[in-house]
Amino acid sequence: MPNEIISTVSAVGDTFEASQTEVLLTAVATFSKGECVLCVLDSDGRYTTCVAPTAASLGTVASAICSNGTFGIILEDVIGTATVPATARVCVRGQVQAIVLSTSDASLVQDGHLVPNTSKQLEYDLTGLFNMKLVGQVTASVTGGGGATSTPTLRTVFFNGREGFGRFGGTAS
Amino acid sequence: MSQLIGLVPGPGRGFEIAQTVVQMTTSVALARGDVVQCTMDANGEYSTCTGAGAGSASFTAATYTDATLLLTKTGAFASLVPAPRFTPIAITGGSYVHATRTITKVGAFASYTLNTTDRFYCASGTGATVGASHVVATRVSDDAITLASPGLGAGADGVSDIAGTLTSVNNTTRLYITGGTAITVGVVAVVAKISDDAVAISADIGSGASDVAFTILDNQLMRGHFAVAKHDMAANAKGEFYLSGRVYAYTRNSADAAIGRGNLYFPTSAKDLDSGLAAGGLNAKFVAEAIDTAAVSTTATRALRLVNFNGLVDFGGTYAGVA
Repeated sequence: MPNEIISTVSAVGDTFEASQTEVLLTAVATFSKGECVLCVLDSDGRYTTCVAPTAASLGTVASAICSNGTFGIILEDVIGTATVPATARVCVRGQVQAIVLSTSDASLVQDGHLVPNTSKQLEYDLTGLFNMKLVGQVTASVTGGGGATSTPTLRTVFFNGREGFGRFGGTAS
Repeated sequence: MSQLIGLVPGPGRGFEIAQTVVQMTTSVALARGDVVQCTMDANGEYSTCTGAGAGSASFTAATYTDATLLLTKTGAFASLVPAPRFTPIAITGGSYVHATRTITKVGAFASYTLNTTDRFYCASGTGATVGASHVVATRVSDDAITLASPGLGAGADGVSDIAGTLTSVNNTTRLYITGGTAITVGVVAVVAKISDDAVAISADIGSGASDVAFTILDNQLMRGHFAVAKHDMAANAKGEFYLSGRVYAYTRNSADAAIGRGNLYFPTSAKDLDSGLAAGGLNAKFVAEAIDTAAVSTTATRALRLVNFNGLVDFGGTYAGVA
């Protein structure tokens, strides 16, 4: 059955919310619920396995060439190995619980954007992250300080690891 | 419920980008794999297409003047309409104090909001260094701004005849510098249109030359919707196009670099997909990712290669540059 992208579904009253796109991918490592993974593009143009995001997959520009991946959020714990792969349930789009942190311990502001990192988290602190693909949005504000937001925590986010929400272009000075 | 471009599960685990095929009438002859730009009509519908970025224009034998960052070519910029961040502020009779690099003109800067990428293009002034390279450092008041080092020069200290234009770097009007003696190839922004024959550019591209080749990049390449021709077709014929999916398209790397799986492509005015960002510059729209790979020194010439394409929604937005 075809999945949908950027689909919206009507909720109660005059409102809408993002619909969920879930896929099954081969996992050759152990992943926990809420971790952000990279969906690996194979030579047939299909995404069949998931791994921890690589530095090259985040949107970094090297030698005037840019790559970035399609990302997903692990929906339940999965234990896979190279010899005994497991099947991971992964959310590519939708409202989902993901591991979020702000390295600078800044307050999370609702609608603020998130980028993936190589530690399988969604990072709120965008300092220096030019051209990184924005894949998530904070749904509830959290006051920072004292490690409140610098500690990786499962939080509900709007996620789109396929098309994303644009790229971080820096700040006007 | 709305539905745009879909993902489909493949056999077994995994997923892929669904193919979306539409019909349009092309205004130019096309080969299978050519990349086109969809044309919106008055009803907001896309029923026709053209070669992507058909409005780009190339020139040779232009003159670059290092001291003023001016690129000059008779008539080349007649159709260019720069769209700066604010209406350029022209002054005459401005005074200058070199110790603080302050330009003063009563009331001239009342409407100005500082952005430190803005430039003061100095057209003339006794002892002043003319050119477009004067970066604005601060807005002091309605009457004064300061420039970043080195300023207009000690020779202009105390003069009251500074003439010039305060303007913004216009990243949406771009030139692709393609060659010239000891010229740095790459994309630069137009800082100011001086005349139909000359523009001030955002970066120093060399020590001066009179054989500069460049292309005015078509801004539509940053914001259009794109498709890939499914088959050969004649001009003014109706044909089928892929809006999304795993397709064969003409691709290249304009720097002749290797193409790796997952590298992102933007559309070009030659109906190709290019992974060389130096030719696309800021805000290039990423519409495809490479599936087929290619070795270094084999990619300067366009070839049909397998890509994941999405000309409508793109792949994570437009190119935002590097820190």
